[in-house]
Amino acid sequence: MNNTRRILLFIFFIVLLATGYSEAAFEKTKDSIPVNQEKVKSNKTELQHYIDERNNMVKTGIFGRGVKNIGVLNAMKNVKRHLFVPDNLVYYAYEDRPLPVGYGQTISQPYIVAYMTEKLELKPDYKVLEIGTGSGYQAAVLAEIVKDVYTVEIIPELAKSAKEKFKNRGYKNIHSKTADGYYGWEKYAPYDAIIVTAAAGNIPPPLLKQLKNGGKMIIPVGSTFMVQYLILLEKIDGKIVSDRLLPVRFVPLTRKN
Amino acid sequence: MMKQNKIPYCIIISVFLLSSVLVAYQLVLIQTLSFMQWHHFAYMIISIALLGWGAAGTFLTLFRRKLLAAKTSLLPVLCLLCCLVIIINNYIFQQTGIIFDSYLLFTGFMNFGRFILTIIMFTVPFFLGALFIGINFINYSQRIGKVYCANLIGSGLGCIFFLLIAWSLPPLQISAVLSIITAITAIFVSCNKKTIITISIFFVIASTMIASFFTGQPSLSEYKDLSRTMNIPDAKIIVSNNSPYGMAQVVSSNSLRNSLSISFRYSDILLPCKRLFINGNLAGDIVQFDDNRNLQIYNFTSKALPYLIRKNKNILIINSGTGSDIAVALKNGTGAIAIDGVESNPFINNLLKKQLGNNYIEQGGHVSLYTENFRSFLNRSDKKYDLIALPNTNSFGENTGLNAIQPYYYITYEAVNFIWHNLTSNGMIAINCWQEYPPRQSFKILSTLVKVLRNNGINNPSRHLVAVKSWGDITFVLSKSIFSKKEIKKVKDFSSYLYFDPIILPVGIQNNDSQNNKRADNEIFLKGLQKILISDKKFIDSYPLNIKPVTDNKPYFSQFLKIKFLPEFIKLYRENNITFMDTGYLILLLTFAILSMLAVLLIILPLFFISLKKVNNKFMTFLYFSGIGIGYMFVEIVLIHSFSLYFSSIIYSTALIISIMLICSGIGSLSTDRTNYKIVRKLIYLIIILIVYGFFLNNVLNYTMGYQFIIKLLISIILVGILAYIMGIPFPVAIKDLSNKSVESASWGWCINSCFSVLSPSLAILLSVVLGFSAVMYLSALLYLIPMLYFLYQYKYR
Repeated sequence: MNNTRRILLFIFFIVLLATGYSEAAFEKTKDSIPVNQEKVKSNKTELQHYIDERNNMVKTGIFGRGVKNIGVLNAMKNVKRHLFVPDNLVYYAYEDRPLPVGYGQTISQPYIVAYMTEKLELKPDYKVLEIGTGSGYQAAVLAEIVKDVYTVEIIPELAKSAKEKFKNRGYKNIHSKTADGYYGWEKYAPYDAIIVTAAAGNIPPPLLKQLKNGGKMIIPVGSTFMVQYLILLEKIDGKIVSDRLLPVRFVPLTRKN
Repeated sequence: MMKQNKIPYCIIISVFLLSSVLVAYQLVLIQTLSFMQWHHFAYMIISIALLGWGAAGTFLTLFRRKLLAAKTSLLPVLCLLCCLVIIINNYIFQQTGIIFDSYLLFTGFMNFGRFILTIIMFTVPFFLGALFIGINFINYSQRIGKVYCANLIGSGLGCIFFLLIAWSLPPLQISAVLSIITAITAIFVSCNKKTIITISIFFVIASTMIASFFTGQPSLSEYKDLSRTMNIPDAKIIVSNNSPYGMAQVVSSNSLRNSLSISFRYSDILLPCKRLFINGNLAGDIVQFDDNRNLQIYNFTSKALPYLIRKNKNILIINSGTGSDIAVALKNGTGAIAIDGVESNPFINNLLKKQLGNNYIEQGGHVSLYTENFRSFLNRSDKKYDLIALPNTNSFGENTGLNAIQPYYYITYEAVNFIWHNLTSNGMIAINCWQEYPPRQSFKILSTLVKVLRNNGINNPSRHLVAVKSWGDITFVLSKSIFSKKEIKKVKDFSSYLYFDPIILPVGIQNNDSQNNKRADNEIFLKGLQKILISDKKFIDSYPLNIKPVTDNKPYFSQFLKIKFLPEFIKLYRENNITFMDTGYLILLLTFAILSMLAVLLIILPLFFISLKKVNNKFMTFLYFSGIGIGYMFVEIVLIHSFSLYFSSIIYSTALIISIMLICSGIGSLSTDRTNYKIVRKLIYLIIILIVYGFFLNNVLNYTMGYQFIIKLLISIILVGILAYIMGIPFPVAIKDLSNKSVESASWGWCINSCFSVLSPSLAILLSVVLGFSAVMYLSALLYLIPMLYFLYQYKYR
C-alpha cells in the first residue's frame, strides 16, 4: 500500500513535469506569434510597417552582408515581398529565410535573391531569362532593374499564380510561360543574362546556347534542400568559364533564430 | 496457481511467438527508418528494445505480486495491447509530421519533441512484450530453462523470419504480419479462458487483417531525394522492389536528366532518363544503353580521364549500380575491352542487366556483371586489372553530414590497398567526387590515396597521381607506375579540350595550364592538395575538418567534425548561411543523451520506491552490472558493424549477430549456475579473445570474404558464438548470487544492467567515431575484467 502511494506520487511528479514542460513550450510558441501581430497592429499603418521591415531587411540582411549594387538594393527595397509569400507566412516575409510556396518549391531568402542578382551585373537595357518563376519574387526584383524579364515555370499552378501577381502589380515587362525550363525560351534568345532559381542536377546546354556572348548566367547546383553551390558562368568568345561561388542552404521554416 | 513442474505448451508457444515478433519488429523499425530517414538508426532501435525490456523488468519488480495474481487475464491483454500498438505505429508511420525528421532535428522545439515521442512510441511494444515474457519467467521460475529456451529460439528465428519475408514484403506489411502473430499469441495464452476473450481476439485478428490490407508506404521525409523528385508534375514510380537491401524505386519523368558534371563542350540536349532510388536516396541515373545519342555524354565527363591516359584492357567497375561508369568505359575504352561490374544489390544488378540487353553482354563478352561485395569478388579472383574504378563518394551536391555515422567501406585505406594488389604493374585506380566547400571529401580521398602509395614503398606520390576538376566534380587517377611525359600531356590536352582544369600533375600545375573553372577558395584548395601530397602532418592536423585517411577501423568517410571544433560548429549552425554540417554525429549525441535520460527515468528511478536498504554492497553491484552491460553491448555493436561489410548489408548483419548472440549467450547462461574457477578461466579466455579480435577480426573477415555464404555464416557463428557463449555467463550467475541475498539486490543488479545496456549502443558508435572499432573492443575487454576479478575474489576468499 505504501509502495502504491509512492508510485502514484512518482507518476504525479512526472505528469507535473511533463505538463510544465509543454506549458513552457506553448508559452514560448505563443510569445513568438503575438510579437509579429503586435508589430502589424501597432500605431503605424500596415503599409509603413512593411516599408520599415523591408528597409531593415535591406540594411542589415543584404547591404550589411556585402551586396553593394545600388540598383539591386533599390529593387529589393521596392518589391513588396509580403505580397509574394503565402498568406499564412506573411509575418515571416522580411526575415532572411526561404519560405515554402507550395508544390515543394520555396521563395529564396532575400539575401540570396540580392546576391544572385548582383552577380549578373545587370544593366537597364538588358533582357534577362529566369528559369523557375516560383512565387514570382525574383522576376519582380529583376523587372525593377532591367528592360525585359522572361520567366519560365514548370509547375502550372505556380506559373498561373505568379502571372496573376505580375498583372495585379502592374509588371508589364515580365513575360511568363509554363514550360520545362531546361529548354529555356528560344523565341526571345539570346539573353544578356540568365538566372536559374531552381536547383539543377546539371547545367542545361540549351541555356548556354541562349546566352549572349559576354553574357552571364547564374545557377544553383545540388540538392534543393541540402547544400547548393552557386555557379556563375560567363560566355567569352563562345567559350564558357565557370566560377564556383558560395554555397547556399535551405533553412527549414521551423528554425528559431 | 499453476503447478511449477508443468508448463503448458500454450505458454511455451506464446513466449516463442512473441520473442520472434519482438526481434523481427526491431528489424522492421530499422528498415522503416532507413527508408524514412538518412540512416538506419540500428544502434537506436537496439537501445529502444532494451529500454522496453529494462522498463518491463522494473515494472515487474514493483508490481510483481499484483501482476502474478492477475496473470490469467493479463497475459492475453498484454498481447492484444502489443498488437494494437504495432498497428497504431504502422498508421503513424504513414502520416507526415508525427515521426521525427533527422534533417529538422535541431531546428525547433517541436522536432525535438517528435524525436522523444518517436522513441516512446517505439518503446511501448517492447515494454508490453517483455512484460509478457517476464511474467512467464517469474511464474515458471523453477522451470525457467524451458521458457528461456523458447525465448531465445524464438528470437533467433524471428531474425530469420524477417530476412526471408523482407524479400517479398515492405517493412510496414511485415509489421502488419507481426501484429497478426501477436494477436494469435493471445489465443495461445487464453485457450482455456472465457468465450468473450476468444471473441475479442478474433475481432482483433480481423481488424489487424484489415489494417494490414490498408498498410501503405511509410511517409518519406520531404527532404529526401525521392520526395523532391516526386514534386515534378509528371514524375511517377514505375518499378518498386523490396529486399533486405532496402526499398528500390525507379522514377520516370520527362524532366529528369542525367546529373553528371558534363563539360560545357557538350552542346546537345540531354535526353530524359529514369532514376533509381534506394530507400528514397538517389542511387543513380539509369543509363539507356540502346540509345547511342544518350551515350555521347559519357565522352564529356572527367570520369573519361583514365581511358584517355592509357589503353585499358581489363576494367573493373566497383558498385556498377545503374551503369554510368560502365557507359564511360564503353564509350571511352579502345580496342577489345573486358569490363567486370560488381554490385552487391541483386535488384540493381538485374536492372542493369536488362538495360544492357544483349548488346554488350553477349557480343564478345564485353561486360560481365557480378552480384556481390567487391572485396569478396576480388578476394576470390586471380584476375589483374588495368583499371579499377571506385564509386562516387557522395550523392549529387552534398549529403550535409547526415551520413556522418554511416560506415563507407569503399574508400578505406584497406580497401584501396586491396585494390592496389589487384592491379597490373601499369594499372590505375580512378575515383570521382563532387566538389564541396570547404574542401573535405577531395582532401580525404587524396590523403587515403597518398597513404596507400607511401605504404607500398612509393616515396614520391605526386609522380603517381593526376587529378582534373570540371565545374562540378573531380576525378583522381592513381597509377601503379609513374606517369610518363606523354601521358601528362594527354591529361593537359584532355582538360583543355573539355574546359576542365588539371589540379594534380606529376610536374606540378603551371601558370599556362587551363583554369576554366574557378573556385572562391581556389588558392587554399590547390595549396591543400599539395600539402596532402607531401603528407604534411601539420596541415592535416590543423585543418578544421577531419581529412585523415579513412580506415576499416573508423570507416566514417562522411564524418568530418573534429570534437575540439564542436562549439564553433554549433555556433555556425545557428546561422543561416552555414555551409556544412555533421548533424549525423550530433543526432548520435542527442540520441545518447535522451536514451540515457529515459533509461534512468524508467528503469532506475522507480526502484527508489522500493526499499534499497536491503541491497548489499550497492557500489560493487553497480560496478559489476554496469560493466557487463556496457561490455556486452559494445561487443554486439562492433560485431554488427564489422559484419555489415562481410554480408554487404546492415540488416543481414544486425539480424545474424543479434540471433547468434542471443542463442549462444542463452546457452552460456544455462551452462553454469554457480561461481567456480571455470568461470574465471572462461572470462580470461573472453578477455584474450576480445583483444585478439580488436587486432585481427577485420583481417580474418577480409581474408574469408570471398567464401560462399554458407561458409561465411559458419565462420560468423563460430567467431560470434564463442564470445557470446562466455558473455552469457556473468549475468545470470551474479543475479542468482544476489537473489540468495535479497530480491531487492537482484532487482538493483538487473536494472543497472538494463540501464547501461540501453545507453551503450549509442556510446559504442560515439567512441568508434573517435577511437575506432578496435578501441571499443579493447574497452569491452577492460570492462570484462570486472566480472573476472569478482569471480576470482569469490573463488579465493569465499
